[in-house]
Amino acid sequence: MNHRVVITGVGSLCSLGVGAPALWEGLMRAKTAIRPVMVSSCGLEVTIPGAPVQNFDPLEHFNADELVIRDPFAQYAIVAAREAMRDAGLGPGEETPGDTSVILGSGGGGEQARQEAAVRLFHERKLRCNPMLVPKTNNQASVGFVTMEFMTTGPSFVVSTGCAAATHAICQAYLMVRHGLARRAITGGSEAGLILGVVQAFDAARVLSHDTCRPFSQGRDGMVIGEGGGVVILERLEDARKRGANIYAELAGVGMSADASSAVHPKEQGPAQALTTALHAAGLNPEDIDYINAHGTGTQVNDRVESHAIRHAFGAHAGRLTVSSTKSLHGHTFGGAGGIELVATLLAMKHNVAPPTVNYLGTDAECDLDYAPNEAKPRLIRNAIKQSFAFGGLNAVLALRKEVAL
Amino acid sequence: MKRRVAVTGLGAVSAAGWGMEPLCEAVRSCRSAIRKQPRQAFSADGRLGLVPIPIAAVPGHPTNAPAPPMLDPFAHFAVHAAREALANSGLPESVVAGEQTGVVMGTGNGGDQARELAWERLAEGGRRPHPLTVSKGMCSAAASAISIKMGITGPAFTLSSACASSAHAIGQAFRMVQYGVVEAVLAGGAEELPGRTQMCAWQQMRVLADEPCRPFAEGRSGISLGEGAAVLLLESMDAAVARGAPILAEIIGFGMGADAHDWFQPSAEGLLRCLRAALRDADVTAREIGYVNAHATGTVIGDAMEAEALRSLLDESSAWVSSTKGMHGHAIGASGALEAAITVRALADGWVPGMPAAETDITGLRLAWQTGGVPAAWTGELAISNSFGFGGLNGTLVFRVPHIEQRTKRQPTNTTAQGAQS
Repeated sequence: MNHRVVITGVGSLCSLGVGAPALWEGLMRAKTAIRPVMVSSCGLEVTIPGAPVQNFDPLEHFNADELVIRDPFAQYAIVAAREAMRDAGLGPGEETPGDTSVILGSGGGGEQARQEAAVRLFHERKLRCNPMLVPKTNNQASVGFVTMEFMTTGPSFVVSTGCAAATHAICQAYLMVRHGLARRAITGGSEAGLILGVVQAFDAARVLSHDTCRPFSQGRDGMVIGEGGGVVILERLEDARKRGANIYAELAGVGMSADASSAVHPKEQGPAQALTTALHAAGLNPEDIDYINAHGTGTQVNDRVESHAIRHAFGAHAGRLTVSSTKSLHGHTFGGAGGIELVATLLAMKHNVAPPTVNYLGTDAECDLDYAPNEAKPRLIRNAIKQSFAFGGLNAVLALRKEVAL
Repeated sequence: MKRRVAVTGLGAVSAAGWGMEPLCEAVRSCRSAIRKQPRQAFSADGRLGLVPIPIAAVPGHPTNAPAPPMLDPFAHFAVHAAREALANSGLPESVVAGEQTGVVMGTGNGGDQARELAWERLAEGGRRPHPLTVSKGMCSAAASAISIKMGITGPAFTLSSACASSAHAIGQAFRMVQYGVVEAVLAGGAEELPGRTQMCAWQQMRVLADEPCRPFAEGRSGISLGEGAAVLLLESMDAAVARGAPILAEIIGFGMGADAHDWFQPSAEGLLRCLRAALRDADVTAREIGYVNAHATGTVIGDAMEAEALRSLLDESSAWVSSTKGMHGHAIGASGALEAAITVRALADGWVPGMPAAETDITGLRLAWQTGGVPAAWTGELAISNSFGFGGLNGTLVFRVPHIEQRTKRQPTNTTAQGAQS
């Protein structure tokens, strides 16, 4: 018996502000949150374009003791999960907790804690590191704390597939609820990687922009690191109906694939295959899709390959889609990206407005779709796609349907 | 319609050596691969330097083939284990390639050494990290490398729930085959020994043993960290039978859950809930269990808590219980897979993985202490393997001797990946 899966709550926290309303307002304002950010460590200072979390005071959400053991990436996940649960009209202990699964994505887990410890030990030559380092750096910290917060005892784990982590996590949560292995899921992802060590590692891989993030645009030169978390609540359609919950959309199908080609260079067949799989699983035809929230990192190669993959999967309909990358507004939040961008997609469906791709300078010969350049584009959005692609060619796609007929 | 899931291939890399055979030999003969080796860590007087710590490090590759420059050790181990699993399953690589196969791997830390090197360069003079730091350090590197080496284009991803990572990965892979998402999955986990920072952090948690770890033994003093990888090839039973595959075991159930209790301290109640969920999923009773491969890492509290949960579960049952971490160490995100592989091998070959003889048994369980140098003969049909992670994330896999003759009729197979991910 397969269950239909709907999304009934959303939560977000990123450079556009705390809360899903702040995210939506930020997207509609069409003004990027990317700004020059100085990151420093070990006496080294670097100023790069970045998208740090705005208007977030940890002490408004946690007491000092709680912060000792919670790296920012876990804080973001918890705060976004609280909002999503509230938005869904659910609280701790609302129902048999064993029926709720917590599956979140993260690329690097507690990178800030890891950097602090490395600096203490090897730069400052201190003889003690934070004894809470292991739980702070553990990738599954976000999930562990969310289960403790809401007293949920269902299947729970972190998925760590870099930039696609949250979207892969949502795929897993979907399969859990779909197959009756959990009744409900708290799912999404978070990341806090705007620190010198991470910046340098990505810079060494030559994928960071030294200007700003301008996905699909001519003159794009790379990605911009952002931070934050995005979480949604999945539940069975019948449960949502029974309790009269607000339904954002049906998560109608997912698609996952591997490029099997190269650790750093994506290839269009992989993403295209995941897209086709997700559409098929959702029972949707290419013509049914109106909006794609793209992975759109702003690197030369990703945006070209992604545009080709969309053409490949959608054929002639590709030209009628609106495809936008909200990373141009809130940066690339790695393992949190799929969560925040799914929330953006759901709000776009709700308002029938495609968020813009800002910082767009003009058409690139290899990227020839409608990217809602620089201005939000009102249009009917019946069904939408959220897609994420990770380094190493690991792809995940979500297919969303707004009209939830029984 | 749920499909039955067969284990048709096993591969491993561990401190005992490169391959399943050295690992099983170490476990069969109760020979520990944990050795005191100098590692960068804090000494007793608080100095940072080379300190002998009991660890289970993977020895150099027998052919002295260097690790590929693109891969950190954990991904290198993973690719090797995946190749072995595939080779002994008899499934040709040409069949494995394509979108009908998935890769699901677990890891706790991913490429910790690549990341550590980057931090070191930063902390000791602000030098730039190596350009491959991200692609070597990322947790998904092992799953990605396997997909690339084998041309697998189906679902591929990595789970990370510390010590439960690879049990969770095998569990999710089991579901994907069970529900027809894919026809086959290479599932398991990989881990490399932590770099200096994490090693110091482990030391400061005061959970590392002074001597090689001795799970369930009285006077045990903690964990011995290890490294390695193990990969299981899972196939739908129908496909495995149809191609005449060597069916080593059947996975018949999986349980997972969260304690939602405390970060460090496992809860016996949470563990028991996970164990019961696994048995319920497998539709078997505790009485049918012949062997339990316990998580037991060698910590005072963790082992006691697991023993308590197992006592409640097993009651009067005569199931053997052992933890094989005394032989291969605690390889964190690879442990669940190494132990699942050992459990399957033991089930298929008819022996009970034991533990080096200890003095007293205070657990009230039938612990498989090995005294005569020979493991007990396997009599049961059913074995379970436990993995429990920090943060109270648990997983239990249930394996059974395959009942192929009981197959009454071929179940319809859902052959398209499209249908599957629905």
